Amino acid sequence: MADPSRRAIFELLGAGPQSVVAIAGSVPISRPAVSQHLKVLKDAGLVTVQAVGTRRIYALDPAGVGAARDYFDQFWTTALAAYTQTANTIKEEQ
Amino acid sequence: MTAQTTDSSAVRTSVKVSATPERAFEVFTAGIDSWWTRAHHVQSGQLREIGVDPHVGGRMWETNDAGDVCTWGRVLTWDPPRVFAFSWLIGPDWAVPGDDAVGSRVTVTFTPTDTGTHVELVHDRLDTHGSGWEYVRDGVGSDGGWPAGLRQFATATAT
Repeated sequence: MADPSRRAIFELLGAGPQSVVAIAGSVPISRPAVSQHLKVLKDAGLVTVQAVGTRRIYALDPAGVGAARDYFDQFWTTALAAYTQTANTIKEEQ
Repeated sequence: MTAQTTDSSAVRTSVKVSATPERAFEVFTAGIDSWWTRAHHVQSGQLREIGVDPHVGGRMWETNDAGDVCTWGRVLTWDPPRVFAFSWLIGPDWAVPGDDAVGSRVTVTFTPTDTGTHVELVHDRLDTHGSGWEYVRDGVGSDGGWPAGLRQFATATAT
């Protein structure tokens, strides 16, 4: 996600679901630009949208981001355990 | 950049080792092949070697038993013995990344303590990979997948 505005919107949604109006009030870009970024995020499977009355509420898509986070959380925890064993073993051999 | 603590697209984990920061940094980078799980690779065949080019812009690379070489990340920060960071270009399809791959970022910091080194790893910008990781997680998260392989490796290196 190279675009800083898109990243800012994404991180904003990390704090909880928001309407387009609320998002546009929190980032220094126009509301149409916010909508365009949200469309990109939605197409990438990173956010979901839900209509509540006349408002459209955007939220992070847990299936998209949460899965990657869960995966790497487990991956690195286990990998660092192996790294620790190796680093400590080498220390003992010195 | 905003604080990473509230970034839902980041994971962080840390360990304490008895080695000095210099040694801990060396084992993580030059010695990566000594602790990396053999079951974890992107190319077909068996993993022969995994390595790090020790400079900014250097490759995170692997070779298989057929001699094929693959670059799956790039060194972003090379500041021994304090900080090592690299891009992670492998997406949820777990395929060899193309030249235009956009990656997440792994930052490893080495902080001296009274008894050794505190090694903290942060893998952020995970959203760059898009969706699809649920399939990866479900496919390898069960016993017999990579975690089992990593456990075997940890056991082997401890003996």
